[in-house]
Amino acid sequence: MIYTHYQVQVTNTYKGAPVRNWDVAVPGGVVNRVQQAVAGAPMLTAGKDYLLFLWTSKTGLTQVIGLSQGLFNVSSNSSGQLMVSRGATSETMLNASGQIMTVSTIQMTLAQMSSRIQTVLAGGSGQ
Amino acid sequence: MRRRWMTRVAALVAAGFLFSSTGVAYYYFTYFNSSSSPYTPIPARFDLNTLTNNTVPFFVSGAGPSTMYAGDSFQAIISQISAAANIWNGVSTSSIRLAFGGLYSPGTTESAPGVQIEFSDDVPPGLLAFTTLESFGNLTAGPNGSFIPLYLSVVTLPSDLGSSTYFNGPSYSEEFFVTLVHEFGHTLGLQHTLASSVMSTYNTTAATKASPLGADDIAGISLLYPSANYLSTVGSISGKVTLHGNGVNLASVVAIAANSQAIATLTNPDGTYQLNGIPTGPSGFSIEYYVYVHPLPPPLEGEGSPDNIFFPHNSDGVFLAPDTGFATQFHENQSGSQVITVAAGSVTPGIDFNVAPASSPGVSSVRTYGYIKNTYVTGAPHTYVVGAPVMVSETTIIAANGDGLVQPANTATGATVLTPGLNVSMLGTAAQITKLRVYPPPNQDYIAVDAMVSNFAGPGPKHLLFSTPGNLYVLPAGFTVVDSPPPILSGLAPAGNGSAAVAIAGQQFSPTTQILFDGLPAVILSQSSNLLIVTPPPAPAGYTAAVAAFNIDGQSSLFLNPTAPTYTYAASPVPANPSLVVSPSVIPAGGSVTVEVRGINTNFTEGVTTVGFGTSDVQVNQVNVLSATRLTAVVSPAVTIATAGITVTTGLEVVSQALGSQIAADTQQ
Repeated sequence: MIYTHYQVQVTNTYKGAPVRNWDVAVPGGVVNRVQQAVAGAPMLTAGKDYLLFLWTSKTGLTQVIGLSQGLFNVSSNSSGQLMVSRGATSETMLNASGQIMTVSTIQMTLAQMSSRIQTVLAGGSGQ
Repeated sequence: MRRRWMTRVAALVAAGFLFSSTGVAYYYFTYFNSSSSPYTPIPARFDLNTLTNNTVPFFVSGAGPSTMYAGDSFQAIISQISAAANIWNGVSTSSIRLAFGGLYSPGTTESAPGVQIEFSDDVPPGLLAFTTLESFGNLTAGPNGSFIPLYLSVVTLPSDLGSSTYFNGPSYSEEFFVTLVHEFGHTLGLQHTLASSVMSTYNTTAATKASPLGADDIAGISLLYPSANYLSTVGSISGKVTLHGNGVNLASVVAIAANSQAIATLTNPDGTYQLNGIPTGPSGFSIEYYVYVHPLPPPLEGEGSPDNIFFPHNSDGVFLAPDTGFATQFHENQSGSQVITVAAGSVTPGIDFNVAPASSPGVSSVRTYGYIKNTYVTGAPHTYVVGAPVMVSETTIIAANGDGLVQPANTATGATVLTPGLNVSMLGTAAQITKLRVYPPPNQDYIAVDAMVSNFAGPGPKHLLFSTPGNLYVLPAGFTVVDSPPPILSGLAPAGNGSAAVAIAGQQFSPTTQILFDGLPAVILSQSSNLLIVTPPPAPAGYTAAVAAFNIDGQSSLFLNPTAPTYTYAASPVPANPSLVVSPSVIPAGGSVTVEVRGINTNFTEGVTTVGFGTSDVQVNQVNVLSATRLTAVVSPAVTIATAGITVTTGLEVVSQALGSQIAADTQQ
């Protein structure tokens, strides 16, 4: 199995020991002109912000939980609020006029997500 | 109810392909030999000409899993893996076969085609398993079109098979088995499909252990490896899907009848398609189908692409993403009829779609559950069962979850409401669907309907329709009408009289009931509705096997009791694990050599015992069982091998010399 390793700079840690950087492995990549593509594997873009749910295996390999399952895009909305989203944001959806519209399976403010994470970590029930 | 976001993945190593010639269209790992229309799909598949008896050997890593559920064992896991492979061997219209070739040492490389099953600590939570197609040859011409020869597929299972981080139960569970059948489908070249079959994603499959393959799976494998005359026994339709005059790539075109399973394919980049392998009944008959087209669903949690499809790529190396954003549409001809007649050996052309943009995201990726009475214990609560079995002449609750069914209503409580305008109905008249509602927290992601099944509804899959303003989602096999409840096992005991037979008490047994001891079938000696006398498969003395019953309607005893009862074989007077002595110890490459195997405490049986060396570079041509403790095998190695890597399998008895004699049953946790 080929893995692509991303060097991730950490700005906030919700669980686990705070670190400055993570080496995050994503299945698939290119080695010696051999490309391995894994359906469902996320692709991270340099310079973008993400909220990541990570898991480290017994061998020390740190991956995003459930391929794309544990990866949220972080971006600002028109009001300047930081939003997290995951799902169909990369899919093209047209409205009745044939214009492109944005659809997301999960979208909320970063503050809401943080609150839910804190609730779960405190032993509460997440939604 | 708790929604589990589990994913099964296929991956492809894409390198060094050549492209040209023609191929067949379907949901395979597909390449195009051009970057413009006309597109001719080229699938990746095993080359039958390089296989002995059209058989791909599969090998299981001798490292085994690191943890197992209580009562589970490595032998049991191997037997379930073999049983899953045998599901594909049972497709009579397909030429390809799979056979267990023994345990292999991790790191083994081989030059002949094969499949490896490995266990890894690096499978992240959220994945059940994944399959990688790793080694390919150059473009090859075949009688049914060109293809990219496949040499090696690798199935990766989590090493942790003992916790709900991955599988909810031991190796005999419905989930583990259906996942293995699914992964073997990937190893042979099948991708995901939208027909609720075993090759559908985890979230939409209606496959069960008793009836894992759907018509779509059978068509898919049969078209890739057709047996003689197969293509003359099925029908085809062809056409084009366009949006604003442009061809739609990777649209899913589905043929479906009210009382039969769906068959689906995906369009080419220019929107053209040919949907092959449509059942037509006996020769000279034809069957009427509805045909609809829908976009690939948005990727779910755990999916990085719509339906986790590995996109086809063209001669420029460009991966061709799907066109989505259009509304589901049923085909109508000029007279307004939606019915298409499909006849054997012919293509019905002109089934075109001019789709319209979707005005709303709609519903997608729905999984359904039947809420059925648990008859194990008086007063026990009902149980939610995947596959949604629904009794004829009764009203049953069907629960469902998926994208687009509900919307948040109260952020404090988590309560939801139905998506505005959502309506649930069915294709055909087998049942009335009423009382659409949403569950309260903590199951607020689920909806429910009542399905009141007609007295005249025939058994089999029925299809649900989820409509929202401007959109429609069809769930093939949204529920299954059955004539009786699931089978139940209530007791196991030796049948007595000094025989090896086992008496099994229970309910809902029929002449077609199958009993499995771990992954192997028992021989039914006598049967009534509540008692079976069976001869269990061979196993080592003192071996404990999980026992389950499976009916032809897709239901099993695991539906109502996921914890299978066990049966322990009679112990030998002197406990001793089986082991092997093999000569010669080394076989040189080339030629044909007879290997003699002497067993200690073994039960070699003619016609049952198999021999493997854990690599496709050794061909076992013949096995002769001379006694319960002695056999010879005629072997043709392509490379020099040490015979210490031998694995001898007799029923549930798996003996491997190199890996510590018998695969010890005491590795249970």
